[in-house]
Amino acid sequence: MNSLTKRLNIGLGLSLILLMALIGWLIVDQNQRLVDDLVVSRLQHDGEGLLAALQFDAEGKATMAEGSIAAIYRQPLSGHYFYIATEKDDVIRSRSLWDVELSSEKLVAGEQRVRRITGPSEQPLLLWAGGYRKAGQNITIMVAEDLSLLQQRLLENAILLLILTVIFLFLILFIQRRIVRDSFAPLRKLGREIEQLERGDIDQLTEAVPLEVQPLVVEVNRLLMVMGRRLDRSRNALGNLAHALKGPLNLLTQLADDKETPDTLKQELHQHTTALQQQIEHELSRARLAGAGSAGQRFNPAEELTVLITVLERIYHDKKIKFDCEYPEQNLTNVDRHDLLELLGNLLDNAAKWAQAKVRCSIEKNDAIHIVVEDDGAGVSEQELNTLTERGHRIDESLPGHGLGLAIVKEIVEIYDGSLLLDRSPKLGGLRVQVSLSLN
Amino acid sequence: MRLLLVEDDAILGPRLRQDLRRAGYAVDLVDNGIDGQFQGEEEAYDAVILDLGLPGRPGLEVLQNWRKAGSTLPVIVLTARDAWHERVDGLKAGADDYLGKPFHQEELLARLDALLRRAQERSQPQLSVAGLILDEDRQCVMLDSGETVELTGTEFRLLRYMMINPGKLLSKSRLTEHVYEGDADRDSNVIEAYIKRLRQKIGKTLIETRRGQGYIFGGETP
Repeated sequence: MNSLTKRLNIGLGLSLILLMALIGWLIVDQNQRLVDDLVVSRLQHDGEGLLAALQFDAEGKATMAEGSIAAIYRQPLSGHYFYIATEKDDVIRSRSLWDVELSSEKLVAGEQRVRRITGPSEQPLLLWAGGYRKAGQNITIMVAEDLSLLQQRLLENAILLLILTVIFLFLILFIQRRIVRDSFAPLRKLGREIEQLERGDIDQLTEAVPLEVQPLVVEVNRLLMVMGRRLDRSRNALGNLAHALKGPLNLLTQLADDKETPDTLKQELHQHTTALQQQIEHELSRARLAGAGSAGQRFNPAEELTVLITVLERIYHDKKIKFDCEYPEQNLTNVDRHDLLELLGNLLDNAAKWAQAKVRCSIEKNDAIHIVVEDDGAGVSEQELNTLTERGHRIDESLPGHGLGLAIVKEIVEIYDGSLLLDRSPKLGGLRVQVSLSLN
Repeated sequence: MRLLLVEDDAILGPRLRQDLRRAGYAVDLVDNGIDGQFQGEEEAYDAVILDLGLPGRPGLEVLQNWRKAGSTLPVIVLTARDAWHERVDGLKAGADDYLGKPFHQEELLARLDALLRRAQERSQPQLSVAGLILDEDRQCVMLDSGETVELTGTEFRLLRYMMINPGKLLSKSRLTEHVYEGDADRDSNVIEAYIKRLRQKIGKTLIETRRGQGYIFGGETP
């Protein structure tokens, strides 16, 4: 069981039930004792009254003074009984008792006992017995009272108590569940925020959370920031490196273009600078890739694609290529903007490079991101396509012209655990590239 | 046509300037962002070639500042940072084109030409006004009669600017601004002298003088 809510609910519920049971038992028990004590003290009084009314005649026979016995003792099976036994085995019993013997025990003077017995007609009796000495004789006086009515009342009280306890228990459990639920509300909100974070709707978690969770949230935010900064820093460093490398490279290119450079040297320079440039380009693009899973990732297709296509129109300004794009209106999430731009840029650039007049591109999003880019260029032959789909085959080595761009595309597809499919476009006749990027 | 070239590389900058001059542009070279932004704000350029990695102020910031101030100056960004997202961000910041280093000189000239044509809203690659056809590659002009006339650098720049703006009143100072580089001697009499020489080459009627105001190329004012 790994739910805090459940654990708290069960823990609190059990301790509450235990507490209630304990209190209930104490109340019932105390009531019983109180009643018993009251009854016993009354019995004792009655017993002392009987002792006072006890008389002995000249032969030492015990009798009761007339009029000294309460009416309740004369009514048969009234529930109030007494029984007096003398040392000489004289017995005086209340008329209510008929001829039933309460107890045959004999006590010495000063001794007192209280116990429960079953009396006539199965009445539950509380018996008080006291030993006295009067007129030179040891006397045992026993007084008993039927407890059944009192027991009945006690039982009724206990049931009432039980019912009230159960009602209160449910009420308190209900309140307690609400308290627990309310206490966990910030955690649920946090959960929703983390989902938003994954979708890239927010960059940071709200830090206005309960004290207990705050250190966690602050730490998550810090990590997000550190990771974001690290990515920015490394991308920046790569940009600087590119800048540093490409300056001299540019000069070499310019030198190769120079009219004064001899043609033989020109060609060689050109070859080497191109190789250098491609190598730099490839490694830099590869190192720049972020991959899925960093926070705050979102890509607005409408906004980015429009600009991207403008960039491409500028590059291929002399070709007047018509770009025809379909894309979803909502943001794409769980995919890094730079990576996706790199992917789309390379795919569209390749397509535009080989297209005659038309490039089609579509982005679809369901459980994955599906990108299709096709052109109306010459395409590649079946044989080339077969080579390209070979596992571990480096595209840039195998497909002249479709060089570098597709190699990077392949890298991106790999880090997003996606798939890359090349074939002939049924609509436009040129190369069709289909890419799927997994969103998890 | 006058260009602002903002490039901090001590070798590439002058080299590019030379290439651009050869291609018939008047070029001012600035090697840092702060001066670059100032020049772009103060002087009348037809286009800017802007490097992004500049000392003083980053190129992208210079560009954003121009755009914030409402400038529509055509700008080609020149940079080693040419990842696709950087190109997209460059265009978002207000660049009109984005050229990654290393580039070939012809590529830059072609893109510059395309950019200027877009800015001037003309679609045909050749400038052809009032019976004159300007050959920008060879820097000469073909007359109505079919005769081809060679032009000097300044004549070419002057004629090109006037052919781009036919029927518009062009003041001497405006012509000076767009034909000469910033550090050139800006004596308006020089313009008069060049106009005179152009008239000798392409005929007297094409350039009309408005006394005290300037010149109109191509006859009728629209």
